[in-house]
Amino acid sequence: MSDRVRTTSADAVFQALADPTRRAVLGELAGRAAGTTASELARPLPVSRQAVVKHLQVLADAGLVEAERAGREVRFHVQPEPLHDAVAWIADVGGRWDRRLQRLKAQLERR
Amino acid sequence: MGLHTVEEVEEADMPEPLVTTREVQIAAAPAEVWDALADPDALSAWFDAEARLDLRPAGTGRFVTEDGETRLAVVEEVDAPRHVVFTWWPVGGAARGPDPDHSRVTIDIEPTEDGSRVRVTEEAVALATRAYTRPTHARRARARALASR
Repeated sequence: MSDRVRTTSADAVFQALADPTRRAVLGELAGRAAGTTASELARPLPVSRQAVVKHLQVLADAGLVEAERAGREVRFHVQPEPLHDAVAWIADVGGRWDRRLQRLKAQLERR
Repeated sequence: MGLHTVEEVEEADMPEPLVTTREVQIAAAPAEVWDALADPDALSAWFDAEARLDLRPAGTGRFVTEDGETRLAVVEEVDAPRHVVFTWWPVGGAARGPDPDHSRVTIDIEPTEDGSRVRVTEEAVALATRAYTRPTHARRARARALASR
């Protein structure tokens, strides 16, 4: 895992979201504003608590989930910021190219 | 985009790069589109920046936008008048917002019945950047430690 340190967390975000079960875990978590435990999360999902914990680790690595100790239990919260960064990058960079290509088209077709 | 090589499929565990693709249909021949890249005045006009790009392998480029951002570029691949790949990055710590420090741009110009199709792909190069180092490694390590309990 150590070479992963050099990849952007945006990469980790997309990798984390590539798995349908992880998307389901994140979806369940997003529906609980107060956060929840791995056991509670596993209940409505067709996977074991251990599997949910592994998915939560990947989501935590991508910065999409935060773990917090509350007494004897660990509660998980959604952290949507990295998702916003990735979407914002695509919108920003893609939007710039849209404008440039429209100007290129106008420039070449004017002649 | 398109076909994956065997190596890419075998390395399915690798993270997906952050990438965006845009294309436009233009009623002009590929050679005319290429000239609009090669000629600094034409390039500056459609880039809306003071721009030049030396379309040779290892050729350099410089883009100064109206809002003062300067980007430097190095050409990685050229196949005139159809294909160019360059990497570019903002200088002087001018990276704002979620813009990464370093990305790779591929421009493909395909001849079509009534001109050219120009396709641009920009891909963030997989380097840790200020914008993407959130959450900090310490926070990540703590989240991992808690998650594995």
